[in-house]
Amino acid sequence: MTQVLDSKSKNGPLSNSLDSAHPSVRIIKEKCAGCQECVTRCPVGALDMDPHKWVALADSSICVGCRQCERTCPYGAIHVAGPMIVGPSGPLNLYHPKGLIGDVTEIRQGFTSWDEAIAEANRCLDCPDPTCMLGCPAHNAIPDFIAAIRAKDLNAAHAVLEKTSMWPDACSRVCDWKTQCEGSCTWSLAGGEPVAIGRLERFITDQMAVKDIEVTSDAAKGITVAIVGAGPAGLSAATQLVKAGAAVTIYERDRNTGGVMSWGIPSYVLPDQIVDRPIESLIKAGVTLKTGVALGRDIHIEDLKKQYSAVILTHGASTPIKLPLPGVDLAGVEDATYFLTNAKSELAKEKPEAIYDGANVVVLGAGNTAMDVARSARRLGAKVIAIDWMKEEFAKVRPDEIQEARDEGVKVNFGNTVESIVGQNGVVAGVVIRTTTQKSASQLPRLTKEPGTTHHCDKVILAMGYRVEDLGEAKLPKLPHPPQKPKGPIPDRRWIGSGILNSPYTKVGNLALARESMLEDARLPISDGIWAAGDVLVGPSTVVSAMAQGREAARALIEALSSPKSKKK
Amino acid sequence: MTSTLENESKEANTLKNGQPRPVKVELFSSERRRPPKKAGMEQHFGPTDPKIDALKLPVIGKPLTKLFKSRPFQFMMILPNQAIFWIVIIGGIIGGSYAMPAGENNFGTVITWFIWFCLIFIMIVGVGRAWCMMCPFGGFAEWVQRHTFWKRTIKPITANWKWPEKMAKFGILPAVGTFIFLTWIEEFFNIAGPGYPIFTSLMVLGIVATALTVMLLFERRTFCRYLCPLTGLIGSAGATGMVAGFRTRDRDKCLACQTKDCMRGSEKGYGCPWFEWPGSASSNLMCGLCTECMKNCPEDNVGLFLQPPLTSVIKPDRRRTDVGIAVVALLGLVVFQQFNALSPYQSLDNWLNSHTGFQFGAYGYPNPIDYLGIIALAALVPLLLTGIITLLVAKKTTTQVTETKDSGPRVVPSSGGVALLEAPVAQSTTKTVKTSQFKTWFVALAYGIIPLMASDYLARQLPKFLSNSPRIIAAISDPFDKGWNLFGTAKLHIANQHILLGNGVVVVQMVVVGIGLLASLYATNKIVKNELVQVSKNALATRAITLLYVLALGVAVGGLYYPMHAAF
Repeated sequence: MTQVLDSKSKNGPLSNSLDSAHPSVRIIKEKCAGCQECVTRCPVGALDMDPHKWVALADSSICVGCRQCERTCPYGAIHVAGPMIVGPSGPLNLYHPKGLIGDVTEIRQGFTSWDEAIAEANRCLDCPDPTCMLGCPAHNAIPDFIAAIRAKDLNAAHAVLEKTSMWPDACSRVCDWKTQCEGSCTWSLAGGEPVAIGRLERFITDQMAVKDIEVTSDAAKGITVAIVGAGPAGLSAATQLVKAGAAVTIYERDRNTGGVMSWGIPSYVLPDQIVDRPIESLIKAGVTLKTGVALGRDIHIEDLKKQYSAVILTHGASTPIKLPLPGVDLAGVEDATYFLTNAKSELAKEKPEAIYDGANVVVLGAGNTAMDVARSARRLGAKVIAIDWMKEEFAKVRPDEIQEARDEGVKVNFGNTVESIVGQNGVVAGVVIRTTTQKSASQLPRLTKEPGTTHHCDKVILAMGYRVEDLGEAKLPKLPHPPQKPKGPIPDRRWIGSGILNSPYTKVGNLALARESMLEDARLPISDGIWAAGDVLVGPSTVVSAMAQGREAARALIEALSSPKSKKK
Repeated sequence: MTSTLENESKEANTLKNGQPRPVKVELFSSERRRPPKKAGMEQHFGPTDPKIDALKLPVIGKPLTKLFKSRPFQFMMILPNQAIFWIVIIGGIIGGSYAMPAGENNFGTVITWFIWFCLIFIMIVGVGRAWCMMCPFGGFAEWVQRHTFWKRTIKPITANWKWPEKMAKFGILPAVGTFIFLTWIEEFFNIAGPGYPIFTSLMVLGIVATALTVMLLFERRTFCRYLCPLTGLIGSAGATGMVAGFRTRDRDKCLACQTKDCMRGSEKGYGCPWFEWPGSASSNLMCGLCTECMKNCPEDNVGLFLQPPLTSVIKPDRRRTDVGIAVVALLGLVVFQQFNALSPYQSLDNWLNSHTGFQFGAYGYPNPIDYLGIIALAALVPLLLTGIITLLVAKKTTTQVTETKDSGPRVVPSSGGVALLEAPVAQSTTKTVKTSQFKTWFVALAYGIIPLMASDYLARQLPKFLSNSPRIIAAISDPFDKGWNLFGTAKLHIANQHILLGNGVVVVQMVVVGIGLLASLYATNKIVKNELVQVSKNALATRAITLLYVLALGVAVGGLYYPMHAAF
């Protein structure tokens, strides 16, 4: 008997017995109201209708066990038992550096051949009601670009991506797919291993670069827009506006564009040429970029409003969260931005030096930024410990980033917190560490009664996250307001029907629905002629959400300001 | 290589159903979804799709629509009944002098047993689930579950259990079971005798408590659909009713609907508490007339349809076995209630009690053995007779039975070295088996005797109504037996009058059963013509024998009223 391959267990999480090598579908006829919610969604066409009883009929021999029917049924009248008929996901292709010092080769290589990509694409069911699209904050038409991979049509794949994303080469490197597209894949919702959507998107951009921006309509002709902040939200808004024929000027405080992707994410995760690609394309398309210009200091919103038809504020959340710890002002204590910027410029040299050779570095925090800090420090010769007060199972950081950090020699200690930083002669000498407990994901960790232990170190880097700057004009009234729940008392029934909210294995659907509110928020101007998008609107969030919000703010702006006479080319 | 998991279309830009892949990126593209199956739809729904939409009638249509769309509507319908039954509960507990002939003028006794339990059958037979719309038992429990009287709340107070599959297989039969049990309790404590008013109070309180408990454990109106003692009776007997229920105006619209707000709920209302779908309703069996679906529908595609009486008896394409069994079981129950009024029964019961030790002071009737035994025997009669009919006139038929065995998934290595699974290859073997026609004939003919069964229940309640319903005139002035005279009617002479007594009642009973018998003959004739003649050996013989069977049943149950002498 052939073995069924799937990720969780030999026979899938829901199989009844060790002998069941195939899924079986049971329809409770008394409960089935014949609404065909299941029939119209089955990816493989295993469901039909009994014309006499007007209830659903299943052909179990065709069923692949994705359980969409179970998730969508309004009355719980259909159940699937048995394994999922899908092979395991393709290889991760991780690069393992032999010597870490100065090595900035990308760790995650993605799929390296058409065979790997097509084999992965073949795991996609091309669902009639794709939940992956709902999970993607930008609502990329995922089944369509996967179909294009199967057809080996890179042009079609890029055309699909271009509708919703201007940075697929970045998103396919930095996104947390587990809480987004892959977490919403029908296989994930059924408790299995998802299609490697991130790696498939990456494969498209690896094989053929993202095309330069083209003006495709004159819907925004004559509209001038000022965009403050050249991060993912700002650049996405600019792309949308330029394609519609608007005249865009981008104001950026730093020397480089890209926001957190420039100063925050190291090049062994996100290569520099990918960060720089969009702004180069935008400048080629006629966008004016003014760097070294800060809101509140060099430019003011009121002036911009007078000069331009509209303003989009996308200056992000770049102020590091600072803990009022004893000793935080000692020399040798740095914030993550400062450290990463310096690390990046050292690692960008042709022969980077181990500038922290032998140093003991403690990183406060174990989030994505902290992992970037820790791994950069390792590449510069340091011994690194990362400390986070949360319990590991509740931590929000991408698990693969923790694993990669640990593989590179970073000690990541959850359930610990730094009580104080001790110094000698005004310089950091060590940290006092206390242990914590945490009962559930929604509760804050608490200190245990155990006494603190001192750990000697030479450097402490604060990587506790960021917040929106709260000084002057950069702070917008009533913002940020990250929505905790989706708008409206009852979820959109189409979301309910998709089944994304109804998985016993994951709450990813609730996350996706809450993100939807952010897109709706981005469409609304925050005051007359001013829109906001990205971290400044919703608080520290993700690259893809910022990009999607920037796109939506721009779309809303175009709709609000464009003349009804303009037509698309 | 192409994967065998791929859809029918091999091209990247064609969808499964052959349509070109949509260019616009839409989250909920209806072009991606498979088209709904419609084969057999006309044949299935054609005969039962009613033509008259009460909400589109001239003059009353618009006001009715407005009424049904208002959220307080159902609350307003339930409120009077709720008030009455709480007065019943309280009145029986705090009132009811034990010195008097038990319960004769007690409000609780009078309203419950002399009036309600008779009127409800008229409602059932005439309308269908009219009582369910205004029911204070389910209604009260639902108010608690929803923690509101009529608003649309989001988090119901309930463990939200689903009715288990093992129980759902039996449909309304558990409800018939609870009705048979409740009737035994009612007989044992002589609640409807009438007995002590407090027993009526406790019984009503018990029903309310049960409904509440089930509603706090199970989702929506699981109690009302699967467990309520009345639901089996109302659902099956109500098939004679003229209200078809809330149904679709345009079925294609329902099939194309992306949201199914009627089932899932929306901001405007709750998802169907009865687990129905207006798009597929083909009998009035389960629609509880709560109006939530028409409040929800974003397309205004739900109407309240009327049908000629007996439609849901004669016409459904999908006949339910559980309803068939329920009908004969309920007939058995009402026949018990006729038989227990005859003197041979008393002797039997006493004999059984003395031999089984089933006697608790003054209480011992009915012995569960004769209770269940007589019900079973009475139910067996139509069962056996149908069996004989099937043996005599049913055509012997055969069916093709196809067994499909799959070979299990096959592992196919791709050239990239990643193993894929191919869908298993199904191997089918078809064989010819003799099919028993009994189930088909039994269920169809059981539906045919629904009018007879319903009329028998109505007739059984008539003595109480005809002799004692005027007592309500006095009872409303003194609902708690405290010597009050709220409306000045407590001492009115008319309250002691009878509408009809003795032989007059018997005549009315027999006429009622006679009407039911005629309706059953009519219905059976139609059912035989539509469904059974084509599977019978001889059309004429079939018509004759089935009509004779119904006639015999009707004469037997109707005839029993004669020796019963209008007993309560």
